Amino acid sequence: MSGILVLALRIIITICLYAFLAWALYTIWRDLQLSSALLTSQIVPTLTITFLDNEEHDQREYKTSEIIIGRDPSCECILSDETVSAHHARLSYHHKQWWLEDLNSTNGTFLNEEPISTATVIISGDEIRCGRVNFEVTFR
Amino acid sequence: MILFFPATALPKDRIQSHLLRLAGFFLFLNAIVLTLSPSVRLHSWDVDYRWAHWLGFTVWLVGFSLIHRLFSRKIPERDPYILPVCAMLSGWGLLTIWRLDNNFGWRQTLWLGICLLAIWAGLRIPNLLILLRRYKYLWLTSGLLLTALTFLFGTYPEGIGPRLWLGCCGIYLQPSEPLKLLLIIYLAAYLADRLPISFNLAQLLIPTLVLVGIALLILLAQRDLGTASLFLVLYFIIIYLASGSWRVLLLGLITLMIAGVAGFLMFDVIRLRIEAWINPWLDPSGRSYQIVQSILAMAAGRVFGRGLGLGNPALVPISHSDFIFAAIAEESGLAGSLGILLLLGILTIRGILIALKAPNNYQRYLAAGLSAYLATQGILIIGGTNRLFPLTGVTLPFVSYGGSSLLTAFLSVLILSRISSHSELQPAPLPQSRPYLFLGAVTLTSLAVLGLINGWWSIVRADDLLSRQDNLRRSIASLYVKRGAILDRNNRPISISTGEPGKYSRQILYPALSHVTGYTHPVYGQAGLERSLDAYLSGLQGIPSSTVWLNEMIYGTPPPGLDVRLSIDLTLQEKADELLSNHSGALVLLNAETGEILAMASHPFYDANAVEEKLEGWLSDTRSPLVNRATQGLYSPGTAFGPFLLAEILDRRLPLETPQELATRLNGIFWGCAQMPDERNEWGPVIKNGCPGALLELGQNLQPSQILDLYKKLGWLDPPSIPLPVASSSAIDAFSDPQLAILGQSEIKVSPLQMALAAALLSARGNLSKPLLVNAIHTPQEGWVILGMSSQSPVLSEKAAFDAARYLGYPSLPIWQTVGRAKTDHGVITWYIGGTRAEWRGIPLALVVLLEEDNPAKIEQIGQQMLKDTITH
Repeated sequence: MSGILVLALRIIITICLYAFLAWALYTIWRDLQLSSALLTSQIVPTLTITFLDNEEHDQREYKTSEIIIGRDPSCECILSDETVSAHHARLSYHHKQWWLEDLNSTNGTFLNEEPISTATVIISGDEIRCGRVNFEVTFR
Repeated sequence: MILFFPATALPKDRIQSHLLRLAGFFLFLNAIVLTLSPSVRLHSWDVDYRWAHWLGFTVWLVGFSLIHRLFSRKIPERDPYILPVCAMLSGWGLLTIWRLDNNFGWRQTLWLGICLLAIWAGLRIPNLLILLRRYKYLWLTSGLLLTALTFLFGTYPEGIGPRLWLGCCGIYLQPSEPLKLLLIIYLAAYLADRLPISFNLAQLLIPTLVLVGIALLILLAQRDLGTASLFLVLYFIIIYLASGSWRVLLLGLITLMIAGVAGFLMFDVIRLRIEAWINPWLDPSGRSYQIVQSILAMAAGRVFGRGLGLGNPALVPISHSDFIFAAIAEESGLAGSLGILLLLGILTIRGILIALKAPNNYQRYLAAGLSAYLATQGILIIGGTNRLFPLTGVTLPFVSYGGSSLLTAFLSVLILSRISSHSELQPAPLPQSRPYLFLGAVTLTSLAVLGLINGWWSIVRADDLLSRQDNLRRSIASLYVKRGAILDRNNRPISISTGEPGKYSRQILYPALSHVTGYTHPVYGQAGLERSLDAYLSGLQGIPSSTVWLNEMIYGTPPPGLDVRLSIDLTLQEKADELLSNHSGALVLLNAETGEILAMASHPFYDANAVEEKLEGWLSDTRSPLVNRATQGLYSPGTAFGPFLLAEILDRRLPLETPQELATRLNGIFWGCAQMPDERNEWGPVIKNGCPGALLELGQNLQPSQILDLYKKLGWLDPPSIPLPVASSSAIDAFSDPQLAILGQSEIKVSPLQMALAAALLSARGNLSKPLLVNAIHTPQEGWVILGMSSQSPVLSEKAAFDAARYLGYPSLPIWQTVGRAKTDHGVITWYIGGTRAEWRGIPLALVVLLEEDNPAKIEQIGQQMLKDTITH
């Protein structure tokens, strides 16, 4: 008799297992459809930095979503000028915008000659000054 | 369950609590089945139930209930699938470990508690991920140091083995397990820091190569080869994910292959494993025992499994750790093993999604690395247990026994959940999604292939595998299910099962019949009728297949076996054994009309009850007690061929003149009578005393081909069909010496059973019948069902048979007889053939006695006594 009881339990166990799996897979499938649609719509626009201090107007292009500006060799954009801090400012792309942020630099970061204290949205063509280094950022 | 896993209004909490409730219900029912399993095995309610594992279940339930609430409160935005999948896998593993060994169950429960505490603690460190990133070198170096410490202080917790563990007092840590985690953290942090600014991949990788190289060297020195190979795989996967370069993948494959070949040449363990993988069937009881038993366990599980506690997964060595997947496959069947694969699949999909949604590259590489670790390790070990890959000796994450591996897997879950909880932030931009999709696709494809292979073993190949001799499940089943008895023709028991369920043992009540009944033994296998009638005796045949199927489904064993009735008459058998006593030889007594074997003795014999202690001795015994001389012994017919030659001449109505010579000289050898005939001018006396001169005179009347035809007619060229091992001469086209063939000395040799079937011709009006040994089986539905049907074919005319028997008649009894002699390589043997004559109104009998000695007087006495006793019986 116990055999039949256990057989019934075993059948319910298998149903339980597959209920778990089916429900998880069903909700995942719906989630997957949503997030794949979201992710494919995001590409980082290429950011170009043009230095304005010398005649050649040096240009650097960046394809990453985060650019640290500073004197330190680990920075993405290295500025070898004594008025620039080791980690001076950060340019980052999120919420479909480029943001500029000062990283507690000694000589401050200026957007169109205005000092910034919090993360600020920038637009293509803005002029940025770190210490005494001037450059223009452009992107599409 | 609702009480333990409450849901809030958030959809993520709803999904998580829903899944956890299902997992809790699943484990609760499994725990009930495990408690009831002894009752199912013994078919009784009055048993010792199993309760110990409820402790494990309680820890699981309370622990995950707390973690569930904590997750909802602390990290409300986390991925809702990771925790339930981890809970399901770890709970399933925990119950399976309890089922296999209570001792390991205790420890695993303790470790589960520690792991849940670790998650709780990890949730309380607010900047855990940043700390991990900042001190990456510190973590990895301390991990390496800890692993290196095993050189000095390493132990093996369960006795003698690889010294990979650190610890004392019952708690042991295998540092190479957390080292995997630390390596992934280090690689993710390093690559996220350096990859954006460095354009030369090779230059970038040099520091990682150094550290990974050190780790590999330590692991190789410790012979922890499974972890070492996993390290290599993980290293290349993470670099590939971060760089997106196909060349890395190619390089990884080449490195792995080189490492494989080098390992094959350098390490015996690897060579052994690869050989066992390529052809496990070569040495199934030795080197590839583990993998073969693992595959057998999968076959035994079939589709729905035996039920927790109802299979025999402990037959696979190390089934609580490396081979836990085989244990689950046996007790939960294909349904369960596919479930495990799907759970791993869900874990991988979620892990990769978490990686894609991660807010920065560090967390992305970390999440991808962790999911790659869980998936790869799972695939490697499952592939090792079902023969997709060679065995790697790593654990199945969450499921296998082992504290370090469980802790590492749980910490991965903690980190994955923490990473996923930042989904309110914008995901970091993804340069290319291909590596992640590729990783997902490869993982899911591998899991699908594993599922197909499991299906192959547990459906397509199951029947073949389960009938293998090294499948011990059948002999274990025979302890729990009563095997049918072997009875004589009057239902007197010969071989029976005694004891109570769980302890049945086989006993032969009449040991002298051992060469007929054979034996059934878990180690030495089966022989004789126990083997050929096994399907009936073990309840697989003779019963409606639906009943067999239902019993297999419910109890995992066949239904009780059927009793089998033989044609043997124990009273006559006892007489035969008494008469043969300590002479080497055989005796076969037949019902001449039906071919039923009434007695079959072979001396010396063995005792089936003592197989375990004495089998080795019998195998080397020069007197060959294991050979059934009645069916397997082959002897020249010698002058016992006389009666058949006489009957043939009579059948052809050839003229019979007076015999001239008794003895003769052939090829320079003297051939004499077996016994001196009292009347030398009559055919009867000279034939029944085996005089070779007379045989030669009779034989002159026939062509050599006609002699061969006579051998054929007597059935001496074909093996008799009987459910015992038989021997028979191979067919020939012509005798090399026809003269000798007349004297019964030729290439053709016969067994006593063949001789008895031929002797039955003279007692049964010239009809040749097939031998019958098994009369009936006792089915539950229809009672005794007759199995064998006697069949007869005329070979001689009734008159020739009648006349021959009359020539050879014995004065005071209704019998005929002949004593013959034959020369063999081992000396002279003696035949007695005889039977009843037509005037006997009872059952017509045919008797053959063979002695492996030159003793016509003794054999005549044995034969006459046997016939006389049978007639008066």
